[in-house]
Amino acid sequence: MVEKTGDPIRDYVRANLHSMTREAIRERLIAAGHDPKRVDEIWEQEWTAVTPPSTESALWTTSLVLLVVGGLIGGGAATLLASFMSSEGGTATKFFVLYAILYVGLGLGLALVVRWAARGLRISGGWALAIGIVLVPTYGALMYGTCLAAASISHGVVGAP
Amino acid sequence: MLPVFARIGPLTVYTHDVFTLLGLLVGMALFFRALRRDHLLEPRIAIISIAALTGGALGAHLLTSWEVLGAVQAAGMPITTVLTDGPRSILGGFAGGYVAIVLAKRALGYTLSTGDYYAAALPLGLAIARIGCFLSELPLGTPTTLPWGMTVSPEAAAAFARCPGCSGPMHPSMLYEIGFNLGAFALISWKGTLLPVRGDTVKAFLLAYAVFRFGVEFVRGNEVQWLGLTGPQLVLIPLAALLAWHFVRQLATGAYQLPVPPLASAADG
Repeated sequence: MVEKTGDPIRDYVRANLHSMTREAIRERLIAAGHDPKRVDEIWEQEWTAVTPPSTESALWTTSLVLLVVGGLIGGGAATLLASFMSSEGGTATKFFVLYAILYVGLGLGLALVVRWAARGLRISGGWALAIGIVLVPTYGALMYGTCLAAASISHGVVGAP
Repeated sequence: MLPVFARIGPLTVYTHDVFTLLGLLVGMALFFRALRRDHLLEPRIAIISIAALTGGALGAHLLTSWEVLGAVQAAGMPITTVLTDGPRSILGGFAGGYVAIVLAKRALGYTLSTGDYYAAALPLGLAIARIGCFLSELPLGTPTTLPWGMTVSPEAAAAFARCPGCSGPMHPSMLYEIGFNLGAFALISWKGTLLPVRGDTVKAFLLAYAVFRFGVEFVRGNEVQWLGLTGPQLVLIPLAALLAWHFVRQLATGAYQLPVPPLASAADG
């Protein structure tokens, strides 16, 4: 239940902040004859009250840590796997078994990285693991599907597309 | 055709990869700009964004990699080619990204709707990424006699194992998609959110894109898989149905009948 303040603009903004867009709230309040400047001020105040303080440095640190560590782990592991499969002669079964091991390994590794990078945030171990497993080798796949693929093709590790 | 963007020493930089990366960067920049405007830049958003990015990459691979597994083995190529050079689908990317966002948000207890912050970023990113497809993929589309049909050189066509219709003018299907996405980007940039309910603008874009893409597939030149429909069309049917169901439910529950605020004159009196 949203707490009433007696101010019609504030009450309307507060009641619809999570469900309606800013534009829709603004449009309706102005159409009802309210002062646009005051509507904007109150929206900002109410929005700020429900959003955490902006911490851009933490944001970029977290992003960089995840991208660099995840990219290095994923890309490195995918390269090792590709080299191994190329030298050993790969079969689909062998590839998928190895890929599954790699996947779980990376999942656990990244879950730990996520937990470390997100320290201070409320996040449960199970969910951190889930994030890790979803994020997982996508780091590898993403890197491997672009830059590393180009490098490995050039070095004759895999066939040309 | 420009399949190779540059060669730097032993490294070959593919055009498709360059534009994919560029589209991703521009899309992310627009997304973060929109978040900054509403003071939503914080560490949880970083994790959710990375989840979206990586979930999207995984989904893009998973949806289509199985299709070429047999061909790669038959050609005697290393099976890892499936990962490195296998096809990637934007539809799989959407699905993977969406699942990853939902999981990451639940994990972090993040309840604010962030979908609309992707609304302008998605079409522009897609338009840029499609330039890479246009410059490096064949066939461009099905054969056509329309005046804007495009032809490619026999040398370019010979580089592709499968290139039906490449001997004559083809529909530039990627350009159709670029046009649609640029139009969507312009509309969203001009109007802001198109629907009054938070998160519904991006869903409306995705539904429009699904319907448009379904139509474009008829002139795309992709292989028919079942019932005269291509693989992407078969994937689009359930995705579009889910989105359409969301809007039907929104209309049925009166989600767009928004509460009317008290009149300023009444409040003053």
